[in-house]
Amino acid sequence: MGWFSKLKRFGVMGLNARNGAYVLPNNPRKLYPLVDDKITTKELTQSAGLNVPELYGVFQAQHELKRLPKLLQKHDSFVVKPARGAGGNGILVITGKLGPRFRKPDDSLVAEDAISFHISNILSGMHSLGGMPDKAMVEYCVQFAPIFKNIAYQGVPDIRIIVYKGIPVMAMLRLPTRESDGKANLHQGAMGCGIDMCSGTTTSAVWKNDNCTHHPDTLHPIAGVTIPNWPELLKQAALGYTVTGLGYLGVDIVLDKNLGPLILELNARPGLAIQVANKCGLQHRLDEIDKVHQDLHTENQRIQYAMDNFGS
Amino acid sequence: MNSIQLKILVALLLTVGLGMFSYKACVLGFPLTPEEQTEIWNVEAHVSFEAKGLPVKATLQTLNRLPKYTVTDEYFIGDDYGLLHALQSADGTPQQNRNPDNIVAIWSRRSAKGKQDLFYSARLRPEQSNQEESWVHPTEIPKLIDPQFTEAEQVAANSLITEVGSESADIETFVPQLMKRLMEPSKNPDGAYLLRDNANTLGAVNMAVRLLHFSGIPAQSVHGITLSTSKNAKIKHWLELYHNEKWHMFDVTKGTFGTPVNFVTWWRGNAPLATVSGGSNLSVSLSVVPATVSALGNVVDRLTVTAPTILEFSLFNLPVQAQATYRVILLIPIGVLLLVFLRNVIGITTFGTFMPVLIALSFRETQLIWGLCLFSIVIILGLAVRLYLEHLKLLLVPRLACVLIVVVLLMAGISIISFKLGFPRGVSVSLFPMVILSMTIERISVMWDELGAGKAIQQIIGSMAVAVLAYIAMSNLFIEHLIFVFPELFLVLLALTLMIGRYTGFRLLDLIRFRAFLKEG
Repeated sequence: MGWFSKLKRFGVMGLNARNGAYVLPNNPRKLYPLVDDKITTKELTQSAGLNVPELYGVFQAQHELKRLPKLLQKHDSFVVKPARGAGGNGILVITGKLGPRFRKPDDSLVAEDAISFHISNILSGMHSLGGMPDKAMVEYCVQFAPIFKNIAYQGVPDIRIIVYKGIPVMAMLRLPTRESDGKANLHQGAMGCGIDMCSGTTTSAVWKNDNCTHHPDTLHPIAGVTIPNWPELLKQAALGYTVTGLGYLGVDIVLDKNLGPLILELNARPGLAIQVANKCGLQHRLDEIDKVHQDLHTENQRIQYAMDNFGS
Repeated sequence: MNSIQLKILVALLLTVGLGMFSYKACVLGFPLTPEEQTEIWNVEAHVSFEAKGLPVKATLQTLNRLPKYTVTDEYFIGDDYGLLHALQSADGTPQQNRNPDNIVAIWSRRSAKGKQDLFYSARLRPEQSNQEESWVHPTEIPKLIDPQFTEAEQVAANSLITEVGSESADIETFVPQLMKRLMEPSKNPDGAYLLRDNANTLGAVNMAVRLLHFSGIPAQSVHGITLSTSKNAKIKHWLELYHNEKWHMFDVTKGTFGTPVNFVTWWRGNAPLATVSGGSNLSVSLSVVPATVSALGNVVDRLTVTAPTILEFSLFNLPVQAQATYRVILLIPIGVLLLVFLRNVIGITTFGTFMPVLIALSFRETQLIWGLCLFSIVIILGLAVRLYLEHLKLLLVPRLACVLIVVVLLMAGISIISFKLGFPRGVSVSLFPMVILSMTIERISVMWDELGAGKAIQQIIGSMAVAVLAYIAMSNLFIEHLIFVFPELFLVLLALTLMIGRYTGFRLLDLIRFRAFLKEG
């Protein structure tokens, strides 16, 4: 198969390779609860000195929904998400209030009891892996940094950084589109842009698995946007490894207008579209890290190594 | 380390699985295909005689020690007769060892009068269903024995052998010449004298054996029948000669050397087929009738006789109902292996991990087309109900329960309507698809909500396609047969699954996922 060898030449990693050669050997099952439950992740990262969005409230049982109106009174914008959701499922973003109702990023309105129902669905486990009963969290809605104003549509762009054995390997900027309903998940129609690991500047982009140079909704070019304070972002991502111990990790970071980079979540089995967004396979970089990772002892060394070696 | 362990495990499973499989297929003769038929032969001997009111004892040679055949279903029928078996050597003397030349059935009765009918029937099962026929020579070379001629006989024998010897060049010509003279004793005074009391074919054959021993050639007679349909089969006589370290087979009836074809040995040596004391007008009629049975049943019946322990620990020993259940259960791993392949090597995503296999199982009960229609109707109607329930803002578990109840009602309704319309298939639903359908409907509707109709329909089609493929694999008679008859193949399945479990190469659909790279050239 010429096609497979071509993918191999690019160093593209397939799903089986990710699961069999990286996730299974490097991510012991017992560490999963640290990242599977976003509330645990939040506590963990927060205590390690990382920045996370503020948690407004947690709902663990149906009867606690009584507290919801009081909670919602205090905040105009917020995000409701399942603590154990996967793939961005079950996330409800509220950007503002309009009388008794709430506004979603696409300007549609929802009533309070719709939010309550959404939370009760989360509690029953509708969005959690395997349908297990879940917790719902209401947290700070990130005000996205103006840097992305031209290339983000109705949602918060986030930055996904793959960290292997503590070394940032590859990064991508995920831009919500009209189709993704303000969510930043590629398989829901968000757009992925490759990021140069050295400078933090966006390079190429992919949307629905095809190469793309302009944002489909705002029609602005995507390449050339430099993410401010890039080494700090890489450091936050590398700390994700120190905090959790997961050898193969995806770190999702958002840039807030006022608060700077905030860690949204950690992912023990990050997706592979990052390769397409960067037009570069992961395999070669991972192989290089396997050779040198014993010699890199501090976060700064690891970040420096990534910036020196994985620039485009 | 782990990978070595895995390789050893895989190799071990493959060796044991394939080893047992080939042993059962090649040595024990289990058929590889389900419809394989085997010819078996029903042989019946009818012994009749006139009893004179005295103690009666009738003996009959029975079939035994047949190369390539196993005798099963032996019946000895004789009203009010006592029955006993005796082992005999070829010369008719009783024998105790385990490999007798002949086994004789002896019917006996204190007194009998008038026409007596005794029956012996046996079933011959070929051990290899599709092996070409070729004669198996005896393992033991007959010892040269003293022919025990009287002086006069010795002179006649000498003269006969000298005469035959002068007209022949080697054993190939010697034996036919000798037989010719013994078969037509009237033209030859020496032969006539030697056969004076036994001027029949059996007598001639026995005399030929004695003469051959006399001239230093180990030989013995073999008596048997040719397997071809016959109401009145004749015993055929062959000579087995061992000369120049080679076996030679001589067909006495035809007077030529050759290899017996379709010939089964009944007994060896100089004993007659049947004898009777206390009776007269003894006659034996033989019938040979073929019957076609399934090759599998043949193997099982044969092994019950020859190697019962093998069957003791096989699925064939289970009650029939359990066997029927296992015929279905054993197919699940086949579907699961296919699913593993489709998911991990091809890359198709499905609803739930094993849902397509369970759906495929339920197709087995409804048949494919009807199953697909039924599932589509129920899923569409169920989705409609589920979307309506969305408005009522029910909690998850009660909502699932509602969907389940509606699915059951839908299926019952469909059954009733299709029965009224005269489609009996509509009634053929089983228990478990209902739960599966409810779960599927719930998952579809959640996916519909979150990822849109396109993704949901795409996944439904993917799941259904996998279910159909799994159904095709699982309803394949050949596969079903192989798995049920050779359950050790599961070790091979396990090995394959282990191998796929460590397959870290690309999936076929990775090509689409990463097609951007392929375009780059």
